[in-house]
Amino acid sequence: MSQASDQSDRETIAAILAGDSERYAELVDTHQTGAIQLAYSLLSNYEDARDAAQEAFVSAFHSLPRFKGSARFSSWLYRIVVNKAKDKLRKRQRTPYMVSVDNDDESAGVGPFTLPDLKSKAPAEIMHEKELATTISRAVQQLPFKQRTAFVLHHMQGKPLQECADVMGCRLGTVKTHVFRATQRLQALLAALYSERTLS
Amino acid sequence: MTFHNWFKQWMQEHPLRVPDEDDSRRFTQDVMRQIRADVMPAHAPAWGGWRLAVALPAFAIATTLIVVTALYLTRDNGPTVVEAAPPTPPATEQVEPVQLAHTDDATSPFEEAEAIVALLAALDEELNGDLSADTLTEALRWIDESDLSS
Repeated sequence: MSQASDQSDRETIAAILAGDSERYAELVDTHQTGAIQLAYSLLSNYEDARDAAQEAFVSAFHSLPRFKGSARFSSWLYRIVVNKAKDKLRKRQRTPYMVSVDNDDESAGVGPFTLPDLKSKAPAEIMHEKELATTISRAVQQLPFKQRTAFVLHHMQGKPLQECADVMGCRLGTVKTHVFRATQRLQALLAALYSERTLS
Repeated sequence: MTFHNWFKQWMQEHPLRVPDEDDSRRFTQDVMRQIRADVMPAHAPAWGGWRLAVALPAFAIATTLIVVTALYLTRDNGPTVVEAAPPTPPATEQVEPVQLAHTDDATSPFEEAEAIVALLAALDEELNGDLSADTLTEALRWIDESDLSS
């Protein structure tokens, strides 16, 4: 996120804290995509991800007076999203839940990933793309939660490591360790796919 | 190609999904609806308090005006109110004179009775034992007018 949009966030927050709560819609519009993507990557279920992101936005609104402004609003919000996603996973553990990767229509994609234009591709190739996306999504779900969070933030959302540390509330070195271990583990889980793709 | 590069390429070809415009608008509406629902009850008491702060003095002023008007009208129709006033309990009127008579007067009832009997005896003697009803009435009036304590 640019410094200009960061400044815009601060101005919006100041207006909200001054009593114009309707302006919170601007923050929701700006940050909802990142928040839903993060939750979706962590939970691999769109409805749960949408709920977690919605709960995070509502919590963030009520906690806005406590927002110090030392970090970016997005980092602060994503931290709440991560906590809400963790709550959802705890609930899943308490109640029987079928962990499944969404199988939406072809144009939408599989799991949190968008599939490339499949119209010009053969049915076998389409099937292969879907399987690949499903396998990667399931492999990410097998990572321990902290490793998964660090991996999703850094490798899937493209956040700098320092921002990942801000979101996760830990030191930069810790985040590096989480990302490294997650990458190693995924490499092992996806060895067959990785070698197949590398060779092809 | 390292795994890192392979995954990076994969992410470029398969970016994370972005909610479509309708879903995005619905999401914002849902969040704002939830926030409004949470915020309204918190503001409601203050709003209610503000209304109460205006309503209470207004009610007090109206009540005062009604009472003052009623008192003014009552003063103009004084006799009506006096007639309508509940009667004083009779016990008070009966008890007080008896108590006052005995406390203020130095003569005791026994002495009064003795004096009356003595006067009647003197009267009867004067009339040579012929004390008729008319004479007795006259004698009682005379006794009533006499100062028995002397």
